[in-house]
Amino acid sequence: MKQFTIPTGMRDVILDECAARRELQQAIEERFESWGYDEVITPMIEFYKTYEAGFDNINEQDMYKFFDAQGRILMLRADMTIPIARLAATKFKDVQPPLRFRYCANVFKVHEDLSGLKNEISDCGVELIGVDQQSGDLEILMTALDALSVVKDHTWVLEIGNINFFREACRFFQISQEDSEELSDLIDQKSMTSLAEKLDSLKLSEEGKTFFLQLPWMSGDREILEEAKQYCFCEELKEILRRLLLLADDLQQLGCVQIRFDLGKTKNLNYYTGIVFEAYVEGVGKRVLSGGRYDTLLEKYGRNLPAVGFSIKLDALSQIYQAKEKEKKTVIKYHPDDRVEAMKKARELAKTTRICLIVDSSIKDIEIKEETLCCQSR
Amino acid sequence: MLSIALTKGRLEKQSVAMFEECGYGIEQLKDKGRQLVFQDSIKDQRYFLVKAADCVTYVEHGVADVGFVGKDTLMEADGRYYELLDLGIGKCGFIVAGLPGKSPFEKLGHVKIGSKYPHVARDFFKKRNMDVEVIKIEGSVELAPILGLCDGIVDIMETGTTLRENGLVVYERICDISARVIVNRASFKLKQKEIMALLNDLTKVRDRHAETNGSK
Repeated sequence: MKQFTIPTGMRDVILDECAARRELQQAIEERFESWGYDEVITPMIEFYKTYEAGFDNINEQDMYKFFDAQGRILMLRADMTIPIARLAATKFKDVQPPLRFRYCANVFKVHEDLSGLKNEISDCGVELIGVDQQSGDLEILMTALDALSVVKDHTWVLEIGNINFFREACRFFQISQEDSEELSDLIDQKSMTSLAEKLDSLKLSEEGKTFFLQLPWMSGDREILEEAKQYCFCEELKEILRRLLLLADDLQQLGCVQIRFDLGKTKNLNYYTGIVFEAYVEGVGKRVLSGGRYDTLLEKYGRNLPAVGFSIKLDALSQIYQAKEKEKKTVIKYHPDDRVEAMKKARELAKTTRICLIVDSSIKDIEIKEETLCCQSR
Repeated sequence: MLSIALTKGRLEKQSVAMFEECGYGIEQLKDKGRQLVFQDSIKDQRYFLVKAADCVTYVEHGVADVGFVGKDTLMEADGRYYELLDLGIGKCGFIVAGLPGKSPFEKLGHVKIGSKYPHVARDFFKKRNMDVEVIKIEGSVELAPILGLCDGIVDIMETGTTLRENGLVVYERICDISARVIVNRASFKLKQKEIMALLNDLTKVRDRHAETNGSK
């Protein structure tokens, strides 16, 4: 017998799951709309070189790639930030900023077989283009917090870091690109033993070693920002902390309590240039939102504008999202001979309720009644 | 409530002993019966025993908040989690071994390496700029070079007795290995207090062990 399955990392979303996901999507999109973001739809397929230009070093093995008729490399979009950066720098090149775009789209990444990770991910997000960190960071965080408020009955937390905190320190100690990439991986994994070994091999000053060893632990409430001050050995680092503290105070004034900070957020999604943030929800083992500032990305596509954005992972978040109970269906049973009459009734009823048509040659007339078990449920 | 995944077998006894020294209520873990999940009688936490590689999977997916697992397993399976503590137990090392006088490092031409840890083997030789063919072997890795399946092996070594008995020699020590505490990323954000308390308890026990071992 022939077997028909779906490719690795893909999934079907059906019935209740599907309803929950759609409802969640609509609730989030409504929040984005209210904050003034206009929806854009970009093609699912982009040129590989568009992505190559955006990343400093792209992991080509993580992309779905293929060729067009002229032999150019195409790929399934791996995120939405790059397409929107391209869009903003080209189609909108003469439009006065700020630009506010929102999207809901499936993006594709190749993960290892059997890792339990999905290769097709539904991202729902916004990009705020042409507003610098001073006001843009707070605005985007407020938008994120508001969007997360659609999740009820679950504890969640938004965690903020700044990629420059690590970068400045690397620059100060003149750590090579290769070594800083390795360090960033170890710090991001909070891999304490290997980190200590790596730092020993780098022959840093005592001050530098302490700084990098402490970085993974600089994670917690606002207080950790104060604590982190003692490890700052240059003005640049102090300035970053000062800005984060300012942000913390602003958020506090706005009554936002579910905020944490992690200065050990060093994962080089290499277009980020400022704050980076992620949200976690109780009951979901993965992050449900991620974003950050990327002030140099648009320049690569021909327009120099600062930008910041984030996306919500619908697949992860919908795991804990309860859809509203669906209204019951009105079942219309009819004899094949009564089909015209039955359809007339169906057309009327479908205007106001959900219906379910069943052909049954054993009955004489048309039967109409409300049922809990609809024809789809098994 | 914290869920803790422990690796079955070699590490199990030592991990349980550490919990006991922490003063946790692990009676159920010591007297297992047919249970699969064990509730702590003092602290708000539960334990379950799984195979090493599964421990990583459970933590990555957030089914377990915390996992105890060997660095060898972590090196073989790349994953997204925090690796916060070296427990100082289950100490051994990754080595490259082969037949005496036939070093895989000196062989010219095609080199074949047998290992239960193909990723570790591949990464190590890649860093050395050596092209080798890695063959996955499930058990009794020592047998492979003797029978001529490969020129060398990458394996973990505790005392070296098994290697010696089979007439193999160590050509290089790749790195040290010990048991580590790994933590799910989301759990660390949402349950940081409990997790830090657990880590502090374990660090104290580990350091006490290190001291007594050092004074011997």
